[in-house]
Amino acid sequence: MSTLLSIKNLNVDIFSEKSILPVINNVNIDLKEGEVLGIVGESGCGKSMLASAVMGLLSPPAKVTNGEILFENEDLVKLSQKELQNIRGSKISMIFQEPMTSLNPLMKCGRQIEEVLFTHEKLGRGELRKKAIHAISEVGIGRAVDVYNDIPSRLSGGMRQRIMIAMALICNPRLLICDEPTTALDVTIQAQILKLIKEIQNKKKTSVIFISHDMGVISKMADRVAVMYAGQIVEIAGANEIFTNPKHPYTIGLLRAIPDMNTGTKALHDIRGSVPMLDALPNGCLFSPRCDIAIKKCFKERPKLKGDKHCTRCFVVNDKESYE
Amino acid sequence: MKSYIIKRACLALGIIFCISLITFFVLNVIPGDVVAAMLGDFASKDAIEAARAQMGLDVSLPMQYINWLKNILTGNFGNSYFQRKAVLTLIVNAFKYTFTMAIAAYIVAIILGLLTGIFAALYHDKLPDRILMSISVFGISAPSFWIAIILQIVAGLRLGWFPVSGIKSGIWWVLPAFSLGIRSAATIARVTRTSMLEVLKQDFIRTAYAKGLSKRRIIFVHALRNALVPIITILGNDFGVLLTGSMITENVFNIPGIGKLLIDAINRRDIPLVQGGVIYVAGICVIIYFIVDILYAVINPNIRLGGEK
Repeated sequence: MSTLLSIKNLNVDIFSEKSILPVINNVNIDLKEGEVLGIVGESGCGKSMLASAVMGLLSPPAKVTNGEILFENEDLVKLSQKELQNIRGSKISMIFQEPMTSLNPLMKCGRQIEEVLFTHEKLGRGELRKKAIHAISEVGIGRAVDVYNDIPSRLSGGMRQRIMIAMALICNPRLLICDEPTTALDVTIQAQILKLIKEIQNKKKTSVIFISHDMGVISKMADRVAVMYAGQIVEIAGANEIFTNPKHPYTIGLLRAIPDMNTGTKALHDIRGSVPMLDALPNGCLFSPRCDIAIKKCFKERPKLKGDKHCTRCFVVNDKESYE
Repeated sequence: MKSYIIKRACLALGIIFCISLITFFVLNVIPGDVVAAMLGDFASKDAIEAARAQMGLDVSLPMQYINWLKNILTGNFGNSYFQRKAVLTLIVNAFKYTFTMAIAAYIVAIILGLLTGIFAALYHDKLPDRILMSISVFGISAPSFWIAIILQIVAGLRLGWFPVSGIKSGIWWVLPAFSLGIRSAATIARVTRTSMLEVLKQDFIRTAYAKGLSKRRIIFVHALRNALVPIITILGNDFGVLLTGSMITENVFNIPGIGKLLIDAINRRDIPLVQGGVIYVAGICVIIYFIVDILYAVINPNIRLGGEK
């Protein structure tokens, strides 16, 4: 399968009055057609920033300072806002974290869906309505015509997220970015929404970037997983590989942090400390202050992402492998 | 929606009733004998009594109120003591001028205010924003009679663009409209700016960008409509203020509006004219607020649904 999206050496910085904060630091990602890439990491790791960068939705003071985002062999970084407008919503769509506030509270749901179609395909009134209602029923809403006429405040969070999905998919985008689409929802609704995204992805062969801090959710959705920490990718591999053979101490920590109902122990695992502030990044490996296996070198130098199919950014892991 | 309108209408009627009650009794406890004042110092006691009976002032105060209310309901506001004409005719004639001026000022205020506010919000914290907001502070703080005089001197006398005083045709309204409207325009501009900035930060604006909508559509369709909710309240308030608070402007530009009429009436203790005028103006205001409430619900469906839940 050919590569749909290729992010190369991407740097995103936030320009504050005092300093320049690196939110995304030399990220490289390839996404194939029809593939689901999970991006996982704690809050503040730059996952959402990465999504915004791909959408061209970074707003000042954040800016892409280096690198390319090649989508269908076109560098999105170099496009004008006008050209990006034509891509957003039609070829690349996005679903956001907060379904409660992501819809315009004063506009009928149907109209909000139609708007996307109208902007990109310029259809007539009746055609728009027909397609919008079809899209609403496609995301598993029974009373599509009623919901078409409802304003968002009459719908539950799950329903609103379905509307968001209908809106994102109505132009059959080639790439769908889901930024924590189920974080704000009940667990039962979460399962329904995940199932829905998966079904649609299978049917339409859409490529998906699925962002979450929840390893459990990622394991259900992704073909390949990238683990992000403080703006860097620290480990990237096939989903099976990541979950059965995690290498980076951060990934291992994340996996251990999932509460396990089977073992019967009451202990909850965490990773000590928290994500470093961007203006106070450690000199060595960004994860070193929280790492249990760090060696002297880790505090002095920054490791590089190494490996073939399973890449890890860790001196300890990489040295051991090269030694073996 | 229907029950919402009925509820609002009942409220409006109640308010008018209260205003009529207050106006009537307050004006009647003012010391001084109107009849004596009317007939002059040399009137006999009998003549005064006779005039009193003729004017319906010989019964008790509550009775007078009920009679007055009855008359009002049949459209009879009584006669002016001094001008010897029906109060309603006087008011309606004067109101035509005031209303035209208010509308003209209102149009100036809305167009100028909304555009300035939106523009300032789009250039938030940049030079255009700072300049416009400084001007708006000036617009809010400058007294309207001063603005009126400056406009008369600069645009009227120096440049000779517009006529300075009196009303003969459309162009004569330009200066009064601007001097009355600038203050509202400044308020509207500031509220619009704040409201727009607030709305532009919302998640659904980000969604709109992600949908690939043009910036123009996002601002005028998605952001402005949401930002309008607080603005509409101000617009309603302002129209009331423009209608009733235009006395000074009317004086400066020599316009025979309701402000001039009422001030003269108060000075001369022309009670029927004052009462009628107050009720009339209050009625207009209540109707405007009623319309604003309805508009509010039309713009924001959450309100009318909230009312029905």
